Amino acid sequence: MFKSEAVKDIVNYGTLLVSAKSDGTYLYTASASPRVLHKYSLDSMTPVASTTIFSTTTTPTDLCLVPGSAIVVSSSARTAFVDLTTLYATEVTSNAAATTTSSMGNQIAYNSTSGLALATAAVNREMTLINPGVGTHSAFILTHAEVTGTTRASCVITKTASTHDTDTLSWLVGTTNGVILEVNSSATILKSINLPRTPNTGSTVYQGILGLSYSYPNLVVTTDHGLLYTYNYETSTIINKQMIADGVDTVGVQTGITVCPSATGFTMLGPGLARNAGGSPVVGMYFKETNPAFVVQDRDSAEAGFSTLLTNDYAVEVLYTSSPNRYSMRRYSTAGIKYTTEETEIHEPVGVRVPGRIIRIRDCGPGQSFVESDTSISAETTTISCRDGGTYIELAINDDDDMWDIREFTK
Amino acid sequence: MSLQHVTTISAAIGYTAGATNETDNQVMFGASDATFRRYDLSSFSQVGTNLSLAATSRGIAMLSSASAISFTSGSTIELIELATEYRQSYSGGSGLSSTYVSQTVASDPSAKVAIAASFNSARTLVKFDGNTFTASILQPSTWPGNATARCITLKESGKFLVGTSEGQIFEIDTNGAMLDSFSLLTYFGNAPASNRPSIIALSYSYGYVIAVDSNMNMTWIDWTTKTILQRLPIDSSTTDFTLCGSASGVTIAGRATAVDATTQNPIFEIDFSCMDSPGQLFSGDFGAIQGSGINTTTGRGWVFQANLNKIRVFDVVPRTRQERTISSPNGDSFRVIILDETSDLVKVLDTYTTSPRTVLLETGKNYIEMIKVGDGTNAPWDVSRYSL
Repeated sequence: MFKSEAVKDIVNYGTLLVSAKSDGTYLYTASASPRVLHKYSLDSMTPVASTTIFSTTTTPTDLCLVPGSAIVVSSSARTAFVDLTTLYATEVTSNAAATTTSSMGNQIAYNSTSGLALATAAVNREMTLINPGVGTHSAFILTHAEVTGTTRASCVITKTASTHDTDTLSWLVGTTNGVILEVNSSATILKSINLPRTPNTGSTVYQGILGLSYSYPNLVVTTDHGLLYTYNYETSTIINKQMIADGVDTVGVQTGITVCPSATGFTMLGPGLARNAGGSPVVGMYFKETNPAFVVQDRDSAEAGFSTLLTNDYAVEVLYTSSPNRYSMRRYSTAGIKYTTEETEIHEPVGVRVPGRIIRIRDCGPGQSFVESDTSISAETTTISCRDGGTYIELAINDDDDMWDIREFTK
Repeated sequence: MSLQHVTTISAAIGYTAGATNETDNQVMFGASDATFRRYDLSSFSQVGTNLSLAATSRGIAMLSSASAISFTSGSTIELIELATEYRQSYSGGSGLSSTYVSQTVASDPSAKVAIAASFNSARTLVKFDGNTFTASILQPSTWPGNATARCITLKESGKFLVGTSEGQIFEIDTNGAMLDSFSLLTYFGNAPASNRPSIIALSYSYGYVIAVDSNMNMTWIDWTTKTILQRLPIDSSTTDFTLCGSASGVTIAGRATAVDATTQNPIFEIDFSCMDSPGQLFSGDFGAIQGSGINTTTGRGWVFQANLNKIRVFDVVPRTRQERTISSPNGDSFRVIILDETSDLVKVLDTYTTSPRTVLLETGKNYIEMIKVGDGTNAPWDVSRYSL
């Protein structure tokens, strides 16, 4: 179970950006009024510095960190590049574009392999490729049979390598008409998936994609219809489907569920904007397994509207309330998120190792357990991965005679 | 888990209340022109007439296999004999909401009792007894504070579940006596007024309760031990949300307010007998989903889409299920985890429950069943492997 370990209320810092990012030491977020990039200590959650990022009225819509600097995109055709050491900010408008949405995050993603960032654009069938090294923008045309008419990219994340979660090889793009595109920096479509459009009885019903989170081999997708899909991305198959808050309120404002980047197959879900005074649960989700599990935090949020970020060291939730210009940051421990290993063996009788089957069930409490691994082992001590700080129920079965044993452990 | 078919009935009139007539396989509803209407769930044609009521119905239920009962926002209660459309008015009601609210009335046809949630009066339920043809006000003194009954559903014969404006769920008998109760967890935040969300929709099956609150969170509760198993945000608006009584562990869920003209309103099927993931039944048009129901015998379901004035009729994929009763060795409460090992190993059940507990499991599958009695890492487990 992931736990809230620190809460910091930050008052009178203006309208808060819905997204924030961290380099593991500092937390960076931005506000629209004043138009400022904020730098906080992640340990103490106290302000370190801030800098003005835009010269004219615009709303920062997302940011990403690149080596040595941050890129802040906005609701108008202007981008800020900020040196993270000096906080010197440069504003660039040439060939820039406003992002597609302003309240859902996932509007820009940095690909460490190419050294380029890709942002959504409020332009039909286009995105913006950003080169942080020289501070330039270029149009990134989405060429795909399903991307037609007024279709736009609604969100973008980096796709990580299969072996671990650090190498970024390509981007995954969600569109306003329910298409997931994997693209490289040459705008080549490497793969695509169409979200379900049926059943329906009238004209084709599309689901707009609001958020994406990826951890090999699975991909989480939230939609404006209020559905959360977990795909096995490798096979393009849906392995889980969940009802969740829908995406557009009665005045057409995006309020659906946003999802933050994955930390080793764990992510957090929350509404992009305020839904109601009562708030909503903070929901953690383990989605790397074939049986994705939702883990409800031990506290409900009375604030409303939040964005989240995760690093391998911290999970930080940024909550926003409109009155009186106050927002809170909550930091979560990483217990049960990082991977580690635990040895095991099967004896029968005691002292004699035998082959068999080890089933590890991650125990997050009644209703919230899930099968994390199912491993056949030989008559040897075997090392099996598990999550640091996680509590497990381990079932050992000797298949020869169907004998079993159970142990519980917290790593 | 998917839609079998969808058929549209153009009711061409606003919906104010509705229920399933299982005996005749019909949906019956109260209309905004103060009429009572019925449609056959097989032929999709209207049955009977547009029967005029004394007042617009704000809650409808089957009182017996042959008659329906309609409650209003006033004191009038009307009994409708379905075969002849004979209608008889009774007084003694206590106003239901004058605007549309789902699950205002629940009935136990076998006991010939219907109970309505009086939306406007604290601690007030209205009971109509079809044995004596009398209406009475139930004001359970054991209800704390000024809780107002907000929704009601049948738990099992002789027992109902009531959701209140103060976040409580009460199990009552047909006389309103409290048999059991539970309060949703309060919120730890800055808005105390929102710490007690109204319970606006309920469904029950095989020991589980699904509750939707006015903060638009859906909570799965093991009613036997009052263990919260899951909670998810399920709507972006602050308005109503509909559930219906369950059929073989399945309920139909929908948002009672259409989100906008471009985002369609899905209908969801929730199989909560084994905590299965909800399935999207249908997505089309953008009508707000108000009433919903399932014929527990035929598996045929329906929803009423407001602003379109259409009834969507569908079949839920038939499930081949089998009851399994699980007991702890000493009769104590226990935790049970059931895994489906037919192909990929998948959890199908995990709960803390009382002994014995009957659950529904899909047949044609291989299962691993793990039972733990007591707390702590030294508490004993028992494991069974079986096929159904």
